[in-house]
Amino acid sequence: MARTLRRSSKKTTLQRTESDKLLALLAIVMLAAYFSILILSWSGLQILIKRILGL
Amino acid sequence: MVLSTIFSLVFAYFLPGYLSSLLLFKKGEITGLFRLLFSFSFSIAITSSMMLALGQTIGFSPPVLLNVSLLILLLLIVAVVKKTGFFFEAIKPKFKLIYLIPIIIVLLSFYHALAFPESSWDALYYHGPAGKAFYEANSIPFEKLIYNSQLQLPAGAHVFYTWFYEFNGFNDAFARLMSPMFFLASLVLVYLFANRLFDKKIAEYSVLFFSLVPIVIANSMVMYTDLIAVFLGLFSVYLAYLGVKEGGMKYFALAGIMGGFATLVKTPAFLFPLIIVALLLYEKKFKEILVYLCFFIPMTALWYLRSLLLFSNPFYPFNIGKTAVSPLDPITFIKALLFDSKITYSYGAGPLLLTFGLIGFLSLKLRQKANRMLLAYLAISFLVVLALYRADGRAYIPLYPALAIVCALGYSRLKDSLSRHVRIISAAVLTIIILFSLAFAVIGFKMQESYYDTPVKLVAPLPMGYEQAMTLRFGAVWDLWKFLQTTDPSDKILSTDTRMYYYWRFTYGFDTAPIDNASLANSIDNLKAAGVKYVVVVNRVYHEGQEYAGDNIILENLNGTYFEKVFEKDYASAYRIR
Repeated sequence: MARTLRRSSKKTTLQRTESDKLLALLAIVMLAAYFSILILSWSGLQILIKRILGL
Repeated sequence: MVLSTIFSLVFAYFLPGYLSSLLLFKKGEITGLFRLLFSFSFSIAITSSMMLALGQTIGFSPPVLLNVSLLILLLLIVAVVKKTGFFFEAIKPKFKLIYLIPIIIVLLSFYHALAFPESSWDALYYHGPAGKAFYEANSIPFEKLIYNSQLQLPAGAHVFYTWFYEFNGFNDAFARLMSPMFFLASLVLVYLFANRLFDKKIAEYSVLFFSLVPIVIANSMVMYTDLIAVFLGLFSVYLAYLGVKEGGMKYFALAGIMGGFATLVKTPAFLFPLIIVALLLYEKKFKEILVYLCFFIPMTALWYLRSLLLFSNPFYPFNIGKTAVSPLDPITFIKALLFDSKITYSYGAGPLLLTFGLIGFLSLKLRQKANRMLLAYLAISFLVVLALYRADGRAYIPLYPALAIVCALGYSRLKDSLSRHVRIISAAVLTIIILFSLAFAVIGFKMQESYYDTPVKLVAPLPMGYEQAMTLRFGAVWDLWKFLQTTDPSDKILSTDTRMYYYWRFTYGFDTAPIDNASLANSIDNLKAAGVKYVVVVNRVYHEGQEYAGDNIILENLNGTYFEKVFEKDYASAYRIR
């Protein structure tokens, strides 16, 4: 009984770690997507860069 | 002068609410942090409600104000001394590294709000004239409301800074102070909410994430009423939630007062009563709904009844349904949610929502009540915003306190992961988001090019002198304004819209002036009868000889015999009506 429990909880932990990895991957992908959209669609970025360079 | 500033600040932001809290909550009944937040919000609600009541009846000249405030103060002191005595639950501020970023952003928001005068993207130019007009008229001039679009909005926030003008003379710094104050208060509220629903750790992360939302940072630096209304409305939800948890009818009465006042600051705050009623229905607290409404309705009724009578639309100038984002047009509202472009750059929620927000949503456990409540709050407010409001990022501010908590749930899941890689990745993503938001906070939203003078260079991140800033931002308009200061102050002005609208003395816009487009002579007579002596044209397009959208009989005949040109520089000119 105790062994089964330990095994099942171990399995859950493993599963959880796997899904955590997937979620972390999702976070990276979405972050990249956000900045890509931003840079592609953001004419404001040019203004910002000009502003910083003092042009 | 210093004394009256201190008195007006302490009174308006702290004292009446604190004294009421002593009467309402016994020592130890609530936490010190809650008492502080209660003092802050109820002081503003009491002061502004008093101003509204006075403004609509006998007017609020300084002696009347002083008498009324002293009376309230005296009553409260008597009640407190008789019943309770003064006390304050200890707040043990424990500095943690996680608070460093929110503290920096709050400081930057105070800096940007206070160190810079009006900028082109600050709605102070729109809200300011109302507070100033109330101050100059010593009342809320109802008869003028029809002609001045900026006086048609609910006046809750406007009378609040009129209060300061009555004590200290006209100084727009008091209006600008409101946004960062409410930003700070919102962070405390988010902490209290998340701490109640989850635990201290989630609360700390929620504070961090709420302070990282770009649209919230923007609204903490410029005078918009959205963040203010959201704080007040959310505070009413918190009070109702406390009522459910702790029991006691007073919480629902207070929630009614607070929620009612929120709707007097901005109409979309009608969202929060829906949330509260939904919560109480879910908890089967029917008597409590009645108590809540008994306080909510009288608070809000007078203003909206007045709008109904004046404009046959209680929510005027909001046209419900007319400017709504269509759910069939998802791109528009996704854009508004993530990349709003109404104030300055494109932003909105920023990358936060797509990363930790998404993970938070994916890991919500709907078996837990707190998670269900969070989701219900988000669902109701999202649907209401979608149905009632427009594709404008600040319309979504009611969502962000709850979204910050969702993000905190998402982040804490990754942070506590057993995998080292996951922990490193989540820390890296968080760092990028922090840098992104910090950049916004550092650059601020007041160094934008003016509508008329483009582009103004970023001269220095230090506060410029007033004169220098105004010259840079408004160029010829500023010179025109200075010229008009040399004329008789009682003369009124007819002007094309200008970003310096705030600074003009009581003025007519072309769209609201009594102009008779059929006859020039008739128009001139109408203007003279209304006390208008000058026509001011501030428009680059018009001065470059192109067609101007606002063409009308006055603009078309400025070179005729009825007008004498008295000022001209670049794209700004003034004509005296002969």
